[in-house]
Amino acid sequence: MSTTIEQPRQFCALGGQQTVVAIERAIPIVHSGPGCANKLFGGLAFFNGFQGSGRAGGNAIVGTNSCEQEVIFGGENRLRGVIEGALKVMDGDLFVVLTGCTADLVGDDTATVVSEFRDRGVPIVHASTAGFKGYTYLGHELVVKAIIDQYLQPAPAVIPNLVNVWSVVPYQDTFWAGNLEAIRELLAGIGLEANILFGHDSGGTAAWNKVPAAAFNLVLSPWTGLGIAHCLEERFGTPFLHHPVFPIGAVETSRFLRAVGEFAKIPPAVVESYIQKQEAHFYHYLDRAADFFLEMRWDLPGRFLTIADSFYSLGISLFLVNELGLLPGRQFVTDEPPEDCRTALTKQFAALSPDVSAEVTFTHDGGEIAELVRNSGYEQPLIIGTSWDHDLAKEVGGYHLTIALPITDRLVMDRAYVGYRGGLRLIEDIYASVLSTYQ
Amino acid sequence: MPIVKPVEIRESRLGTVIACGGSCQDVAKEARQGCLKRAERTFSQATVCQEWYSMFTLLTVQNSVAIVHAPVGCASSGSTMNIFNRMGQVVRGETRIRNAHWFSTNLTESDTIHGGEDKLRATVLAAEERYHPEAIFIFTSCVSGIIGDPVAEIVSRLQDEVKTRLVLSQCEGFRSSVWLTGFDASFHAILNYVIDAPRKTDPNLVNVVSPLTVGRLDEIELDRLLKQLNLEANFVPCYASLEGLRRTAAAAATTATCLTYGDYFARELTRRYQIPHTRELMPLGVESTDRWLLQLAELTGRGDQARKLIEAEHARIAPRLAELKAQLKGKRVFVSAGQARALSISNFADELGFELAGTTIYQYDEVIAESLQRLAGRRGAQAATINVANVQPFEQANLLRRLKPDLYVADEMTTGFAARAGIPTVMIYDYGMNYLGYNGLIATGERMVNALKNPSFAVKLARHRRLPYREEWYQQDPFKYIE
Repeated sequence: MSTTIEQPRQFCALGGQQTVVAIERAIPIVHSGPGCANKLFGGLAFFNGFQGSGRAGGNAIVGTNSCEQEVIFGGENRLRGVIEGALKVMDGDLFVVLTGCTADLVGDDTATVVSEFRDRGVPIVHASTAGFKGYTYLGHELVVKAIIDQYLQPAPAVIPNLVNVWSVVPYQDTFWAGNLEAIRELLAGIGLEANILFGHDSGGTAAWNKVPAAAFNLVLSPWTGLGIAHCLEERFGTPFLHHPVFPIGAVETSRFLRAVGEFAKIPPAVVESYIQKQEAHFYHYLDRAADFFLEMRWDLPGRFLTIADSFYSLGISLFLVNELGLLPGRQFVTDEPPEDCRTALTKQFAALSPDVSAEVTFTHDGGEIAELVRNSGYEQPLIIGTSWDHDLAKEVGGYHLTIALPITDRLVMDRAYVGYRGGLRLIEDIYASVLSTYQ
Repeated sequence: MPIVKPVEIRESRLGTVIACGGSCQDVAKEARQGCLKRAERTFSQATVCQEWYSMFTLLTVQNSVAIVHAPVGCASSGSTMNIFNRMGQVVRGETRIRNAHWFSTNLTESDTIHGGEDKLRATVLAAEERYHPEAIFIFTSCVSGIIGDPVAEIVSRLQDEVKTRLVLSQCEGFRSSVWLTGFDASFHAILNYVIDAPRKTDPNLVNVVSPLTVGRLDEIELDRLLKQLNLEANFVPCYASLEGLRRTAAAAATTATCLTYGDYFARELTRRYQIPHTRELMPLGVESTDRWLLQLAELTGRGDQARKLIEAEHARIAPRLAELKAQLKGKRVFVSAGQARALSISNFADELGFELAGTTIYQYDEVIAESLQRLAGRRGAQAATINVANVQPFEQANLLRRLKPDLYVADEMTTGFAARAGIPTVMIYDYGMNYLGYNGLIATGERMVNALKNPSFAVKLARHRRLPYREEWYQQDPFKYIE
């Protein structure tokens, strides 16, 4: 968290504004300087798969645009006025006030201003997301915790097959929308109702109100979301399952479903029946492409490198090693995981398969990454990273696929990389990239 | 090296206003009488800061590295602008397309307490070591400003340690509620850190100060016209080299494709190097292009040539213009853009035959005063609604419901919202298309006609999407929150 960064691949904690945009009919209110909301929208949601402004995002985000006046005299009154206006002008079910660097540095008591409205019965919460506190992943957690602590109420009873899903971060993961829908579909396959909470048809406040009633929380990520699960366990006593691998392809997705099935005490027959059907589909297509993989071998890249957050770096590495038989070069994990998670991740990369291991570097400095890749001596590596890495791939004579922020060479809609079909999508996209270099 | 003070913010240098609304006639009258006061919005949507526009101005300068002295969020503009940086290189025939080089000093909580000087120093040294650029642009931020990092002093000391020219833009977002100050901050940086000395005047050289949003095709069109006057255009600052920036001191005159953007730079070149400059707002539309060319020609002693050129151009485009006018006759158009484009497009309504229903102008100040008065003098425009707003799409949503225009002509911040209200849209700039000059007007007219021919995208969108405003809002006075 303390180094300078070249080519940023995530943004600041105020990026949590996009988490609010992702909740149906929620209204973000950004109490910060005049540029933050728009810049973060640009970096997280537009010049990243061209995901668009969403309902109340983009230039429609409510903002206090704090300037010299607010910095010198404080911005609480301005915030009060803007919230009042928002309640009259904006049509929403939940209002989330996020503070940026300026508000937190000058010491605005945002919590008190917001609680004034909450006492009047307004569905409003406050998250202290000053940019200097951390990255988008932190901002996401802070927003969710604010909703848990300030808005959610205990449930009268547990809904037996309901599970809350805490996985990829909206907008920061360019493919979050498709991924969450795919996770919902996978869990439905084994009889669970997944509360995905973000994105189209995720239910808005009605779904969030059900969070305390879930049978359990699923943290489907190496580390993001663990804080949320602990918070829910503390507040509502809900147990959680932490599955630290983002499952791409058949092997990992089946492993994931079995783990969830065991935790949720689902009859193994139910789980196995679904897995069988899905694996049959997946391996049908893997087999169909076998002629291509085997006979066009000169097209298979020598080594693959991922330059992405821990979700994708580990998930893709496991998939490519165990299902496509590729060999890994050095992997780069860019989301700055906490120390204990780095230890766990290092172990996982060291044992991608019984015979194959990869070295991992934790950094998000593009310059450092480029230097290490240049000196690695890999021949024609497949670089799965971001749009920043396009030049690097060309320089080292390799192939390039964008999978992580920023993605400026693709329009992304509901594409997903998680799950059985996600694995097939990833294979298609890798080879589209490889083949395009020979056109 | 002397410590450079920040540039004066536009609110005080030009009295720029960002909140006001009314009929064109009324707003123009208040402007004439000097009554347009600095109002505030008590409810607002997030706008854009000067830091963003400062970066926008300098990002594409060749052989440079950008350092954003801030928490990492402020550097989010980097990937945003990188795509345009690359596109611009492609259309200029570059074979080695490269990313812009972006660094963030990544100020953290600890830095807000202890100060960010060490990080800034480390980042500057890393930038030089990795790229050996000709220039390193350093941008300050709200955080660096509030914690009181003495960045000008730091940069002055650091310059002794590095070979690369350090160029500081003091552009903390919170210091100005008018994002245009960001342009001034960048030009202030160029004037104080890059342009070293006066040069012998080249009588055929003119500076054309042009923002990134004026694309290559626009440059080609203007170049075509200037060449016929035997003038060489020095397009700055975008995609220019450091030498190109220094060469501005050798020009016979300065003009701007957007005077709002280039006003400070042009004035300072006059003040520091006695290089005269034009005051035409933008060569967008026939009349505006005529005036733009003539002003520049008069300053460089080729007025007669310019008059002949203008006559020839008029004759050349007349038939196509007449066709477009017939197709756009009576169509009601709402324009939303920066002050220069908004006024210029509104003023060329007569040339293309459409009616101005209203316009959002992002700011108002003396740079567009004459243009606004001219607009108010056109019979068709007097009743048009003027909304001075640093975007604020909620006000526009209300206005669009009332005005029900046939077409919405705007820039990249609001077309989505208009389309969701069912109105077909046309962009007022596009890096890949021509808008300026005589050919530009024809191209723009054609785009407007095409948008009207097939509005199905907007119509379908509106059927399935609603804007996030309460119904009650649409019954309110759209300028209710301006005080």
